[in-house]
Amino acid sequence: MTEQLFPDDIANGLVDGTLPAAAVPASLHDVADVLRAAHQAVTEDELKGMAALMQRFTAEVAVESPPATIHRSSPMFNARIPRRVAAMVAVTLLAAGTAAAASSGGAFSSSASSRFEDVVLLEGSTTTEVVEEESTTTTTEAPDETTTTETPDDETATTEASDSDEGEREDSHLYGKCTAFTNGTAKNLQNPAFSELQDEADAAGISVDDYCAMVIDTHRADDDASGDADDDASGHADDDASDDADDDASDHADDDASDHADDDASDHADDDASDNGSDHAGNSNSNSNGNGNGHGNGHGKNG
Amino acid sequence: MDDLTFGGVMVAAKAGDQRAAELLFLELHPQLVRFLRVSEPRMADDLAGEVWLAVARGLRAFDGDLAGFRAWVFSIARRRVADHRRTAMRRATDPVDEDFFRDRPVADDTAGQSLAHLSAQVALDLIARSLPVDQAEVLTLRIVADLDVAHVATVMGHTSNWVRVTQHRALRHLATVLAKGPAEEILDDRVIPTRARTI
Repeated sequence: MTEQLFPDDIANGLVDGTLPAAAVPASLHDVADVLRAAHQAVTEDELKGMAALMQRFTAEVAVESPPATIHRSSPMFNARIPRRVAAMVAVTLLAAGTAAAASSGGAFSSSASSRFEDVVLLEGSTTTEVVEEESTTTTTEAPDETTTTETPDDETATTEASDSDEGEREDSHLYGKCTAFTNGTAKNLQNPAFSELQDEADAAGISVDDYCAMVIDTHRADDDASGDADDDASGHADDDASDDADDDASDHADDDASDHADDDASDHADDDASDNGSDHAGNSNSNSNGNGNGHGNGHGKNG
Repeated sequence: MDDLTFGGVMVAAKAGDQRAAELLFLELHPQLVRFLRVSEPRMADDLAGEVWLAVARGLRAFDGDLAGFRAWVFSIARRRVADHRRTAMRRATDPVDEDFFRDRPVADDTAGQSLAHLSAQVALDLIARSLPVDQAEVLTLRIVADLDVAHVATVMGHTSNWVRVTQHRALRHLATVLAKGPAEEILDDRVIPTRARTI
């Protein structure tokens, strides 16, 4: 037995409420009345609480929408500009101070020059001539005893080997990274921060653990051997190293590892120049140490 | 709102424009609330809030015209109703609260009512209570959500032909129910919550 259906236009017209009353079949008059009633507009009573719902919805839409035309790197770039400006100001002030000291026959030209060199080096835009020129003014000091495995044909490495400040800085830099590596829970040697340790250990033909143990032992031996005059500087460097390591570790833990890989050099250079440049003017070793250590630690936890 | 306007409003809403979001809300909320009141009278406002929250979160992924948007919103609403009913079914007791009866007119109030002067809510209650669930849902989506047969089929997960046939059956069933007696006798029975007989 086949089912008898209404014509589609009548059924749809009834349901849509568009069928004229005259066209409604007699058997469907009551149905048409009910459907017409159902088409009546919504009353105020039915819409109680609508304002609150609408406010919640629009707020949620605003929150859920993507930040228009803002890329991940833009805020970092913008944040970096003031740092660069601060770094340039710091360099200018230091240069002016150096010049003033030199003109007045001051005795701290060596350390001031190295300070200038530190800042310029970390800025990442220096030429080799600047480094060499500065290094010639500081060769009177004793060469660094700590292990440096950089090749002699590297001009910068040669300069660093003959520069006590540079050597100490390198020492503390490696010490910081080794401390971070040794203390870190996640020892990921793929992390760019630790790749330097891997390179150094490979060059020495030992494991990174052994290499770091050696660096840490050497550093502590240096600290023990140094006198009261040195305590200030090295102690400050160590403190900075560990303190900044903790700070940086927590700061960098939330950041993207890839962002760090791209921006490490310039960011830390800027940070050093602007943040530490003036604060640690009296301690030549402190600038890069803390950041090197902290950076390594942070990445270690990330990895 | 026509499709052309809707396109611009949707783009703005996706970009986080609150005014555009308001327009979308105002376009559909009255119908949504009515649909939810027919389906779940006591939970309509809460369910509406959940639906709009889901809409806000999925807005960026939506791609379509006004009819598609309407179908999408009512699909969400239908799922929310189904979820709520499943949850309610799992509860040991789910008594009808007194507000339900207080808000409804007593039997005497319906004596003089004719079908031509029913309120929309009462008419929809009548449809929902008189018809099998599928038939009631087809009519409700067609009338309240203003969806055509194809979009109702999308929302309900059936074919257009199934919706067309179900709509015919609903009309004939409703005619049969209304022919059995005076409207007031049917309406007297409306204190029975819709939910008590659904799914």
